[in-house]
Amino acid sequence: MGWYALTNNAPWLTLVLVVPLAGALLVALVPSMARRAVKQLGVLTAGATLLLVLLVIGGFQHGVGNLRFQFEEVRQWIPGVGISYHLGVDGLSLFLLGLNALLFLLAIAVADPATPRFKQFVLLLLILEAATAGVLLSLDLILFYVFWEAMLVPLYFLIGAWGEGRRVYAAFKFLIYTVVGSFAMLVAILAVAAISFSQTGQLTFDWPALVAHPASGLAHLPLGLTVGVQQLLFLGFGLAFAIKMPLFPLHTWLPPAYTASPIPVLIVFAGLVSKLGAYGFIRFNLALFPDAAHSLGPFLAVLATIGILYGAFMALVQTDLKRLVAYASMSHLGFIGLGIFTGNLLGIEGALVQMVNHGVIIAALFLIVAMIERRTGTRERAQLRGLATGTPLFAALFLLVSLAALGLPGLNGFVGEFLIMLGAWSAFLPLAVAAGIGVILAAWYVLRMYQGAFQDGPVEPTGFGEMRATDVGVLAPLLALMVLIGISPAFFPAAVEATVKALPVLTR
Amino acid sequence: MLLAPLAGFLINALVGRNLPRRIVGWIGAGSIGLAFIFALAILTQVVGGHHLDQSYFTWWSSGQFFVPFNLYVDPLSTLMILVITGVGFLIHVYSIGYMAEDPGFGRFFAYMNLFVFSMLLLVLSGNLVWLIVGWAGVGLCSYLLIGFWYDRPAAVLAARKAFVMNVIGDVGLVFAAFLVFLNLNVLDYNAIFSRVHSLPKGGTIITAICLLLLVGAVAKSAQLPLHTWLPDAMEGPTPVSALIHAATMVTAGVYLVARMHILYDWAPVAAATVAVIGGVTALYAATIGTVQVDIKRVLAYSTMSQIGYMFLAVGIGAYAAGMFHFMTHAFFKALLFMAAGNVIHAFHDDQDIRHMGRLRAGLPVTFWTFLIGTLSISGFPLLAGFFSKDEIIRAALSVSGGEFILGLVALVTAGLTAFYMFRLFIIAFGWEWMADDPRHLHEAIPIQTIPIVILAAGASLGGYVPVANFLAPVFGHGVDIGTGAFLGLAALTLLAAAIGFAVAYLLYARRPELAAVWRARLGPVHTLVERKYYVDELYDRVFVRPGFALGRFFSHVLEPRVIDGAVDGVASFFLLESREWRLIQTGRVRSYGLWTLGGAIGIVVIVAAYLGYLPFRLG
Amino acid sequence: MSIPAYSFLLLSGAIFTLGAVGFLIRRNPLVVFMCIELMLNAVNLAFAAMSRYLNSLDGVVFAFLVITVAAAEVVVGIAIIVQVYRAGREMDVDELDLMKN
Repeated sequence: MGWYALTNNAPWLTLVLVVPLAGALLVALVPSMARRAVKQLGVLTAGATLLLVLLVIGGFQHGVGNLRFQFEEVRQWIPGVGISYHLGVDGLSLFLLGLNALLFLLAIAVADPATPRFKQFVLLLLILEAATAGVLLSLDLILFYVFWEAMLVPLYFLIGAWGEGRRVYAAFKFLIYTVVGSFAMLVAILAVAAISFSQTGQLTFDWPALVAHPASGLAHLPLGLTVGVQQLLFLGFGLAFAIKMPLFPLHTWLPPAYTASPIPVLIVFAGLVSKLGAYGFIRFNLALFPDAAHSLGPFLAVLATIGILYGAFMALVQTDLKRLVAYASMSHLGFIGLGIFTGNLLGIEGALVQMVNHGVIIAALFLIVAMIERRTGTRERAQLRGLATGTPLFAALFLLVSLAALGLPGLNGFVGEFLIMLGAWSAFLPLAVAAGIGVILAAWYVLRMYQGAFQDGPVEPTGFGEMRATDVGVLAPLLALMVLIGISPAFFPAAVEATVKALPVLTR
Repeated sequence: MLLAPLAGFLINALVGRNLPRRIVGWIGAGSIGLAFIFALAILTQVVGGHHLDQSYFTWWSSGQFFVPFNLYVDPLSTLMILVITGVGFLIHVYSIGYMAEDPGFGRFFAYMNLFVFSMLLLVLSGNLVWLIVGWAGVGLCSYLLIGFWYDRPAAVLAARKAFVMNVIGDVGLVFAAFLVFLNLNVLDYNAIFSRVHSLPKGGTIITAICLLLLVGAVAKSAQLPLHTWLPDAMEGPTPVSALIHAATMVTAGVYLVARMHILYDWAPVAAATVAVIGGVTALYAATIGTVQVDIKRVLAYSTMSQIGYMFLAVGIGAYAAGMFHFMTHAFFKALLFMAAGNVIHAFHDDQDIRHMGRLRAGLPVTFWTFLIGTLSISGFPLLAGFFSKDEIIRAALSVSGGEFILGLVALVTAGLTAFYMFRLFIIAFGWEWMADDPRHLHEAIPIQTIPIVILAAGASLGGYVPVANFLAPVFGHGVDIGTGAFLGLAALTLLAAAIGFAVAYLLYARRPELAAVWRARLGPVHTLVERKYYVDELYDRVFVRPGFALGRFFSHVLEPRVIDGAVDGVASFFLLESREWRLIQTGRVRSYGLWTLGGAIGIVVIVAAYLGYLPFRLG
Repeated sequence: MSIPAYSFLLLSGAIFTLGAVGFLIRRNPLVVFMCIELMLNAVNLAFAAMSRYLNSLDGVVFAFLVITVAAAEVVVGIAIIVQVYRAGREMDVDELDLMKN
């Protein structure tokens, strides 16, 4: 049960998309000299969106198995070819939507108004927010694709124009990688619709309709596909999502892109956009192609596990804190991938909760790295020493985030990793053991990072400033989530279980 | 019960820096004292074998996977919480004096309270998940407190080592929980215990569960082969060594095995492994203890050795004996560490025992209490250590078969224990009385000595507590072997201890030159033992360096050359190809126009040919 | 009295050819532009004529569409030409080869 019932008359989800766009429009109208006004407007917009999303989360009815999507909105868009404007939220997207709104609020809140072309910066961030929310809410394949591509444009400019270092190279590499994946997905989308048309005589891109008559439908339809075709389609979608996640070995765009991104962009980029790949895997690959998911899942799970270990080893030897966190992020995403490809209830639930966790943790880590860099002017581990002296609060909060990142039981990272490994244990035992090694390595590299920067040095006045109230304010919601999810995450399965159980890959 | 230390932690962590030290200290110690009072109240409820099981809120519930937050109290956990809060309280009080000069006073008490909270959670938890939470929590606090002086690189390194090794144990424990859940569908103790017999006795599954649990226990209790962190952990402040690395945390492994005794009874192979690990560690650590010169390291190896005893006990099924030894050990080891702390303070943080000696005049209270502790741990008749250690050796020797050998190992270790403890005592404290001490040593203030005296009482009289009877509802009664055998075995143990004492006395008090002679004579063996059998070096070579090497290989070779190289290869292929093709792009509008026109005409021609308007046909 | 359809088509073809040839041989951007317009309007003429001839409105609708697009195109095109002119470039399309290679 939700805590209350929201009226069904209001198009809540459309509002979630429209508010950031309207905010972007308003920002565009503000003169670019009024930097503070731009920022306030941006924060206000993102805050309003967060409020709306919280309303939706609060009004989401728990444990209603038959009612799969809530706050659904369907409108004809291009009726001739069966494309509709179809929005809805279920257990898969609910909490990611909340993460989306929260991270964008934080991103705009930490953006520095002194940034050159600040107005355009905020504008693009708000457009990006609408696009990512759209990706999460779309229930029409074409609509999804539109939002998916729409994400690229603001991201490309945000990295390419406001980045640091080899930003153009990074942005370009990211763009090329992603576009390759997207085209494969577009072809697969069209193929799915065509196959469904040839089987049912009705052309539609509607997700519920396609899942009800899966293009895969070996057993259900006379014109059932061979598993081979299903696998091909699976890989078409999978390529786009695997690149976005990224799944080993398609990850090489990630370190340059993360390193080049300015911090506000990085928060949403690493915290959220990478998760959309994982979301896509669950939403489309597991739902539309259950048989292929079953036969290809083990291979992808192996890749995900390689990613866990590979990212961990890479993180171990990095000296740049930002790169270190980037590889740690990759390692954690390997956990999410592993959970998804177990194809069982606990694994997928673990992956879902870990997506939220990962967004929270990685955003906090990058924020802290940025705070360190702003104070010292460097991110090199070798140049940082003993910063904890005189900054107990900073040290304590950094430690808390680090502990969450290494999966300390009692904090949120543990919950996800526990469930994922439990799911993996029953599906592919050796991979669970390998993931366990990843956990040990995580303890190692995270502590190297924390101690390298904050301890292990002579106590001397470093001039390193303590956290300011604004810094704490930005981190506070993330820290609160870490503790809350760590100690009492029961609300999570309550909202998610029904949806995950209904996934075709489980009911298959 | 749990809330008191948690509250203490929160208060000290949040506002500890702004409060006067006196208040911080008393909040820290007082919250533990309060918890001790609660523990006494619980004691009255469980005496006679009752147990409490209370559920508070749901942690995760999905499908069959249901984990609540519930607490489970029976005599076993009651004994644990009594020791934890009781000894913990004394150590907190001691710390008020010991840490008085340290700038991180508030931080210290915050960590200590958090530790006690985690430890209580570990002990009281009613299911495996929350056990793991407490388990990792104590590991975290151990990390925080070892690395308390974070400006010392050695401390930081030791802290990281301890944490990573503990995480290895955590992972083992997590995997054990997985196996339990996947085979029994439950994770809370009551249900596990009632369902475990549905598994085949001694089967692969139950053995695997118990061995994985053992991985966790071994890591936390610093047993072979995951022991190397404990000696390094002595980088932390001395009260930490007393509380965490002697009295409570390191015995968590023993608690785990005792808690899961129903499982271990069902998996004889795993139980035997526990016993063997315990016996080997006891002997191994005792030998190393004989050559160390750092006062805290000697005590650390002694701790490892004594916990080896407890493992041995729980491994052969003498659970009550193991827990009994846990309690007496908590008394005398906390006592020894705190007394050592006084000595270290008196020598301005010098821990090398060769620089000490002849302390009776300067530090009388410390001297006598340390002597009591030494006697107790060596098994001097009628002191606490005598009863508990004797019980373990008796239990081992009275079983025929492989355990008999372990009993002999324990006997030898008892001799070694007496040897290294008296070696330590003779070198560090000495026999001689100095009327006029030129060093002007100062005895510690009363707030440090009073807890030691209380513990000395415990170390003397703790042997008379009827622990076995108290725990009988959990473990059942032990076998009574008759007075004759009892006395005989007691005499045997005593003999071993006496030999150890005699050798120590001879080598270090009477004829110190003999010690040097023997050291030279033993040459390589001595070096081997002194370097702790090179296990640290081995791990460094086998795990640490290859780990970094692998990381560097990935980072410098695999990533840029192979993976990204393939991607860039695709890109440069097109770049190369396009070098000539792009010459078509002249940039001239009119040439484009010509191309366009040509294309349009071409299309027209093709269409026309299709439709048959031309003399030739297509298609 | 009705004029046969082919005469319109002939006229349209002639105008289109004029435009195409002009596009290819003239260098002044403005004239090039006018030639494009000429081609577009030739097509419009053909559309309108066939619309009438076939008694269908489709052609007229297309013609309107073309006119609209042409208008938009002129706006953009003229703007670019003016900017280029302001930048002090030669008014010769052959010299405007910024996009070369």
